[in-house]
Amino acid sequence: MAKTIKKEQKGIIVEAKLASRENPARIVVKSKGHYKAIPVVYFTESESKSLLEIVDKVEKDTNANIVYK
Amino acid sequence: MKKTLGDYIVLIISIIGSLASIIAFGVYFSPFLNHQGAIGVIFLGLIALLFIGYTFYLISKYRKRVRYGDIFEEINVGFTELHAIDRHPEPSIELIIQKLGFLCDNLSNAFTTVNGNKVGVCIKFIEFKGKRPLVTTLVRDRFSKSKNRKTGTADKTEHFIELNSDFQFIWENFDNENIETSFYHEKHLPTCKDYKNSRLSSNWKRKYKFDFFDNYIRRKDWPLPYRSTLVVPIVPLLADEQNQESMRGFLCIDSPREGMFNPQIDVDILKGISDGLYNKIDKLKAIIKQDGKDN
Repeated sequence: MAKTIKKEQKGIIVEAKLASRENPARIVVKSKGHYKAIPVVYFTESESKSLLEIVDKVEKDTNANIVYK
Repeated sequence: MKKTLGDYIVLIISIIGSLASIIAFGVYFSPFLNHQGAIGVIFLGLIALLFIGYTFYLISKYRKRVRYGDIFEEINVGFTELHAIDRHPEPSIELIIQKLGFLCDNLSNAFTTVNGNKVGVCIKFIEFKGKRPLVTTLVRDRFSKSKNRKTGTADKTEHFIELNSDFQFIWENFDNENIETSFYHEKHLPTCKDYKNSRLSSNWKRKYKFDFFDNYIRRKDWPLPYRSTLVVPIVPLLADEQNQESMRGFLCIDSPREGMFNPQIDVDILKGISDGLYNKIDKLKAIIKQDGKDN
């Protein structure tokens, strides 16, 4: 069972979780009452295809030492 | 912390001293010892060997930890690549992709410094084919690309999430608070019996099986160019903003050697970078979507 040390200030909660057999030690930061809904962002097949074509182009440019500014 | 000339001198003196002691003992002392005396000396010798082994283990362990102090420069340069995108008033897709590639190079250099062997880094994004989520490699570090690790349209394999243990573990359990899903770490891939990877062909394992030598044969036949892996999801760092829907992709590091990576330290480094990557994926999506509309 992980041991947790918790501190709260101005709606921000910081939890320091000590290492347990299952999990490594970690720090979790939570904000209270300011939940932000995050929109789903997944690429469609056509968007992914367009993106990968640009990846190919950038790859060639980078190999030719072209740096985008 | 690198090995110094002093380390090698101490090692050579230790070996010469040990050999001299063993020869001297065999020639001058053992003829005068009775049975009990010989057993006592052998016992003390074994204890001495145990301590030598343990000392070498501690030295190698803490040397590696000390090396983390040397990677901040590379990590900082990596962050400047991310910040350069943020500072740009209207970053193009090309600029974002190139900067992310440079970031992978910096991370690869940093983890190579710590681990002492070349570490591969890649950033993957999530897309959907019908209702099946799959991951696609966006960028890799240069060294991996030179070792036939494919990116862009050259990678013909479809990496569906359910066919890859690392991505599947994080993706399917992400909203379960009782499971630690902030990373996936496997340091012995060749001997991990239930490990799934869409690049692994179904016939890589030999048909006949000898249980005693199974791990040896699996290590010998292992077809992938990496044997240890550490994967973190690309999500915001704040726990309140984390859920499966906020996941944008994965940041992966791997090594051609087994037993690599320290999840207690490496995961925290990668999580900070993932938070920075998160809005870059969003930016790419927004620009691609806009370009699609314009065309």
